[in-house]
Amino acid sequence: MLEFKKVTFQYEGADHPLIENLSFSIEKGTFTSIIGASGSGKSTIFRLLNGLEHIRSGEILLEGKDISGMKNFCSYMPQNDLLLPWSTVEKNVCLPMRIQGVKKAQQKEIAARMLDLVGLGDVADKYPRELSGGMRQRVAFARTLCAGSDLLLLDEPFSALDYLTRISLQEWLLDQWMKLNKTILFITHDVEEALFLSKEIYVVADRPVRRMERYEVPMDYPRTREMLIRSEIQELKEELIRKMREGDERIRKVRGPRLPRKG
Amino acid sequence: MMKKKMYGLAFGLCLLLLWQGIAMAIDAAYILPSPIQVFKHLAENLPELMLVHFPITMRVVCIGTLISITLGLFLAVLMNLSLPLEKAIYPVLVFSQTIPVICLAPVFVLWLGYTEKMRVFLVVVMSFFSITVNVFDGFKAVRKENRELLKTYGGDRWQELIYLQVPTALPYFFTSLKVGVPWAIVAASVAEWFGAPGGLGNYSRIRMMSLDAAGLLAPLVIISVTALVFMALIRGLEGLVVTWMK
Repeated sequence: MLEFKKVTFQYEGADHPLIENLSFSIEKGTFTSIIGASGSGKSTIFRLLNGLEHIRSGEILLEGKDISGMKNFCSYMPQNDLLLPWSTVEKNVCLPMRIQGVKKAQQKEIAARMLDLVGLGDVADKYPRELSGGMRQRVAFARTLCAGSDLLLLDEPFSALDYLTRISLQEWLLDQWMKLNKTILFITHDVEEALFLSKEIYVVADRPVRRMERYEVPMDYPRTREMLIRSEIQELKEELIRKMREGDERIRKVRGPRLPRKG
Repeated sequence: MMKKKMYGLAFGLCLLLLWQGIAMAIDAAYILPSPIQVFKHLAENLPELMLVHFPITMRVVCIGTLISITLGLFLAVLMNLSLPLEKAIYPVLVFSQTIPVICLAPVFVLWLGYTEKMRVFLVVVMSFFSITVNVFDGFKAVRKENRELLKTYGGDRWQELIYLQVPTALPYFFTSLKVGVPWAIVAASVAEWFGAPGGLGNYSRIRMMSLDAAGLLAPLVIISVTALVFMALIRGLEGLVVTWMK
């Protein structure tokens, strides 16, 4: 579905490229995580996909077509919920559709459907300040779904939440993904989270990012937390942590005193 | 809360008593009238002050404030949409505020004569700046992450203005009104000192010429109360509009 072909990218003012000749691909309908240490460049991959940054060379292809010039082909969910405090939950969820010029009646109908889907149909008229952290993230997820594309980019969406809320939202997200038939690309630095959710995991462990090591998670869906204690999963976990540590050391050696952006 | 207000009221009362005491000691109402003399003058002349002079001043305040809001918002939007315009206008605006505008009132009289236009002009010059600068700062206070998210939905500059910047700037706008409106009332009164057919400032000036200090100060009480009423109205409106800041 999604393919990076020899992509090179450099931030303005940076001395070296952050990404160089990077190639990888994501299959349709999969749940894929990208993990790596802070500052490794994983968020930059999302910024290239959602049009906030532009590649220097190479190609990013979606269903075989170059994404430059394409609109609304992916829906982005950032780390913070970024709900607008002056708008009700329903209006927040409608925001991507308002931007895209969807008719009001249709907006309301889709928003109601999405809020029902995330189990928050009864809070449509409430304001974000009246919701808990977990509920706010679910509203943000409903908003992401309302952007209407099949490729979801989730950038550490649960990292700001407490542990119990985080694990319950991970289970909830997995459940949503199995119902929705969407392709999810998920960024995290939490190895266990990546293992629990993903079919495959890419590790960013280079600077510049020239390749990402790919690991397949040997677990079937539906998943339970108990599956994580299997010996092969534990071994994979140790391997991923080791790779991330190596990557972190390499990045520390290479990178200068200042990083232009997070990621 | 009540206790805090009680302290303020008690201190205010003490100051009034002090003023009363000093005025009684000096015993020269043409130099320092006592608060009782000021309030007595106010009570005796209230119909004339409120029915003749107050509407003249308020008309200038209202017209001037409306023009200030329109001009202030227009400039803020203009600077927000164009970086070259921001760079051209913003420093000039800031510099213009180092000029004591009230001292330029005689120049405005030269340009526009002793007219209502001159008085409105002074009100506008005194109050639009705070609206422009505050609203512009409000526009800039939108979080970068929110702007980027809107961009990922395909949002353009105008959509960013409508969906993010205007709501973010609303509390800033109300703050600017809380600063700007009292200034507008002061400016309208000062403009009347230079020449006007009536108005609270004009009333003060005439009383000053006849050494009636109590009559000079009486309109100031009305001006202060009016400023307080305006502030309360703005706060009330803010509470109704900016509900998410509660």
